[in-house]
Formats: sequence, C-alpha cells, structure tokens
Amino acid sequence: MFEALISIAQLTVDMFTPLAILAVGETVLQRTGRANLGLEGFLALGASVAVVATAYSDNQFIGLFSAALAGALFSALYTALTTYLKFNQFAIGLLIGFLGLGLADLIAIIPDKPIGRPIESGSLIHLSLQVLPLVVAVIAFLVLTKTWIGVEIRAIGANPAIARERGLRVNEVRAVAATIEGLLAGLAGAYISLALFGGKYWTGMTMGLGWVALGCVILGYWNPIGAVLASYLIGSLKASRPYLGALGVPGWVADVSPYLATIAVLCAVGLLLKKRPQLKPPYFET
Amino acid sequence: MNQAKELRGALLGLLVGYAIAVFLAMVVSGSPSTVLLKAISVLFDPYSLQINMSSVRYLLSLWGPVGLAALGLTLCFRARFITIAAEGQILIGMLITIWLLAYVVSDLSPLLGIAIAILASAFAGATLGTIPALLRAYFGANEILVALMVNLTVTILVSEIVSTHLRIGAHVITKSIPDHFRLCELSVLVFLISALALVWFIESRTSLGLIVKVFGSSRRTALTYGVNEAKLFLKLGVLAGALAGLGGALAALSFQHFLSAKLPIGFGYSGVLSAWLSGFSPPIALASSLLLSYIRLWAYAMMVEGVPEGFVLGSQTIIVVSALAGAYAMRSLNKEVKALV
Repeated sequence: MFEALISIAQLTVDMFTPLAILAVGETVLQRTGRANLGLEGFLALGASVAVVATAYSDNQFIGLFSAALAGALFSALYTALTTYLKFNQFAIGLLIGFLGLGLADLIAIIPDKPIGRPIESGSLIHLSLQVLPLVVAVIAFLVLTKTWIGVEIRAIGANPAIARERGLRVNEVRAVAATIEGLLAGLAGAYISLALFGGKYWTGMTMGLGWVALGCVILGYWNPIGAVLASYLIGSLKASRPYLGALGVPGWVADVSPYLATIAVLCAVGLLLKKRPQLKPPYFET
Repeated sequence: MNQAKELRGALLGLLVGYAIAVFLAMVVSGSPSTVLLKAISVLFDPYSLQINMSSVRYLLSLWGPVGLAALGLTLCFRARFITIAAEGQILIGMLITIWLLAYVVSDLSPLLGIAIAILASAFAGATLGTIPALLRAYFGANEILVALMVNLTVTILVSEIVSTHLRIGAHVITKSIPDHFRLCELSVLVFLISALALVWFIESRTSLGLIVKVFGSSRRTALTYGVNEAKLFLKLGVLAGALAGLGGALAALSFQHFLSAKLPIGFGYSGVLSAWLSGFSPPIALASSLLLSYIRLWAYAMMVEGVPEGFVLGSQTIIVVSALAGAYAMRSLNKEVKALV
C-alpha cells in the first residue's frame, strides 16, 4: 500500500509537472479577466520547438529558452488579437490553439535529425523544472495578495471597465500576464518532449493537458497555489489509474473526473456567490 | 458602405491568409509544385478545367455538420449565450447514428432506419445542449467553460465506447454503416437549406426570435419586461444541440461511416467559428461554414502531399485570422479617413 502511494506520488510529480506549470500561468492570466482556451497549442508548440532547438544545438538550455520564447511570441499574437484588436478572446484562444498544433507539426518535420537532446531524470535541469511550478505559484500568490501590482491585477480581473476608468493600465497588465503564461506554457511543452519522451515529438503527445489545465485553474479557485495543488490532485488521480483498475474502477472514470469536477466547482462558485459576493471570480468579457 | 469596405478587407485578408498557408505547405511538402497546383485547383481538374465532382461532393458532406452547428449557434450567440458544446454534440450524433444503423437496426428499411438515427442523434445533441444552458441559468456557471468540459468528457466517453463496446477485431474500429443507409451529398444540402429556413423562421417570425434579439441587445431590459432567462437559454441550447446532433448524424450518413481510435475532431469548433465570423446572421453563417469546410478539404488534399495532420487546423486559423485582420484594417482606415475629413 505504502509503496503504491510512493509510486503514485513519484509518477504524479514526473508526469504532471507540465500541468502544474501550465495551470499557474493560466491562473495569472485569468486573474486579469482573460482566459486562453488555446493552451494545448502552446504546449505542443513548446514541445516541438524544444526538440528542434536541441536537435540543432545539442544544448538543453537553448531548447528550453527557445520553447519559452516561442510561447511568449505566441502570447504576443494572442494579446495583439484580443487586447488590442478586441476580437473575442474565446474564439481567438481556440484559433491560436489550433494554429499552435498545426505549427508544432510543421516545425517538427524540419530537422534532418528528428530527435532532440533529452533531459535526464534526476539531473539539475529536471529537478529545477519540477520545482518551478511551486516557486512560481508562491511568487504569484505573494504578488497577487501582498503588492500593489497584485491589487491592480485583481481590480482589472474583477471589473476591467471600472479599472480602465480609474486609470489602471489594463492592456499592459494583460499583455504582461499573457507573456508570463506563454513563457511557462513553452517551458511546460519543452518538459514534455525533452524530459518525458526522450527528446521526441509526435502529434498528440501533449495528452490534452492544455484542456485539463483550464479545469485546474477553476478547481484551484483562481489561486496560483490552489491551481498547483489541483494539478497534482488530478495528476495523482490519473497516475493511480492502474491501481483503480485493480479495484474495479474503469480507467475512463479517472479520465473524466477532472472535467466533471470542474463543472461541479463552476456550479458551486455560482451558489457561493449568492451568499458571499467577495468570492467573485474574474470577469471574462465576451 | 462601410460594411462593403470591411467585407472587401476581409476578402483581401482571406486571400493573403490562403497564400501564407499555401506557402507554408509548399515549404514543408516534398513536392511544392503539386501543392501549388492543388492550391488553385481543389475543386476542378487543372488540365481539362472540368469540375472535380468527387471533391465537390466531399465538400458538401463536410459542410453538413459545420453548417448545421453554425446555424443553431447564430441564435445562441445573438442572445449572448456563448456555448461551444457543438463539438461534443456532433461527436455524440455520429456515435449514435453508427451504433443504431450498424449494430441495432441494421435490417430496417433505409427510410425508417435513417429517420430513427436522425431523431435519436438530434435528441442526444439537444440533451447535451441543455447542460450548459441549465447550469448558466440556475448556477451562473460560465457556459463556455462548462461546454468545453462537456466536450472533453464526451470525447473521452465516445473514445472509450468505440475502443471497448463497439470495437470489432484487433484494431480499434467500429462496424461500418451498411450501404443502404448512406445518404448522397445532395440530401445534405437539402438538410442545410431546411435548417436555414427553420432558423430564419424562428428568428424573424416567432416570439422566441424577438426575445433573442431583445435579450441580445439589452439583457437588463429583457429581464425587466419579464423574459425568463433560464427558459430562453434552455430553448436555444436544445435547438442548437439538436441541429449539431443532426449534423453529426449527417456526417455519419454521408462520409464518416465508422469510428476508429482517431476520432474526427474540429467540426464543432469550425461551426462555432463560422457562427462567430458571420456576425450571427444565418445565411452568412452558412457561407462562412462553407469556406471553413473548403479549407478543411484543401488541407486534407495537402496531407496526401506529405503535409502533417495538424496543418488542417493550423491553416484554418491562418486564413481566418488574416480575414479578421483585413476587416479590422479596413475599419481602422475608414475611421482615420473620417477623422481627417
């Protein structure tokens, strides 16, 4: 029993670190009243770019840097279309996600040597990446709750129109949040291809984590630390699939539970708001 | 006048986006000249200049699910009920049609079998459509996020059913719909036109259409005058869901005769984009869904030339975003000219 728990915990941290990284980034963005539905594309792009970059440079740092940069550039596109050109954020999120999936496939067929340099398990980079979501979540939590920038971010998320009237830099703050999210999503993608799958890329390798991350943000109630905890909770549920199977619980139950839990939390949020309006989540303009 | 200019900008952007997508396909494909040739001649033979009927037929088939989903969503979006559940609804429509016709009533007469499958698929789609509507109305849950989660849940469940209960043999693949149940592409067109007429009738000749318009332009006013938000969203969710479910049935009856481990994706999201691009006008939604179906057809043709699968979705984005940027540029230009005058 104890061995099984250890094994589940290890598998959760190994496999679902990218989910936690993604969820923290998306939380930061959603606190500004923007939701990026295209995370799956960001993740695939990061994975693909990291493979190509390490295949050419044979350097993992260059791979990570390139993936983060690709994510940030993609975020710039998202920001330009949603914040500055004022297109619907949900439609653009989906579109950019599709573009990311398409570009990832295109980029992956460029190199002659299609295998990048993997990140070895237990290496310093590997451990750093595993600690990254926790560190970023704590920093993001402190910034959001203890600083003026955090107040600004929360005010923008709560009511962008009033925040704008009061002279807050709505567009700039959203652009910075989107860039942070893009950087983190790129790194998460790089972790998947370099650390989990030995420096290879193939279509569908992101396992739908981009969609699950959206659920984690809600399950964590738009709190960076909550989002990380939700990611590991969902990760452990998925990691315990073989054990659940042995207990007679079908595998699909573990697969659908994050999405059903997200729906349940969304409903609970609605009920809570009637009694405690101060718990209001960010407002998403449509 | 301004709208005409915006349309011109959108068309220009569309061409630029298409050129970019073609260029990308040429770069990554093994045969750039073939890609270029196919870019301008998906629907006709470049040498004899005759229309390629098989491509046109396939285009009509692809248009069915996207167009039907888009038509239903125009009403939802107009009432500011932004559901994106069409993806799951189309998938469930496909699954139910294949299950009924290939496994349950395969020996029924074609007309009866098709009628049962269509009704069951529409019912399933409508049932799924009620989930975001009810949760939005009674719990205030964000319908976009709920619909997304419903889509993901449905995808996992369909995948599970296909790989276990409906699987035949060693490979993950379902039985195929028998030949006598398959529909020709013209019948897809008939369904699309009928659905357009239905949506137009609801929009312009019924009280529901009037409520949708009022609610869309001012929610507060509509609520003040006694409009029941829950009932409205429920009706719209059911209508859009039924149309998307029907779209899934048509897809199964016309081109997707079986399901495999690799589920057909993106039809519902294309429907969402079509409805959004149309500015909530049903006829324009049909036109934009035809455009997105054409892009899909072209991208499939590119896959034969060695362009990767993700290009299907990626090219759609490049072209749509270019069209939007074109319209935006024209709008901005208009404003600047007006300011100068």
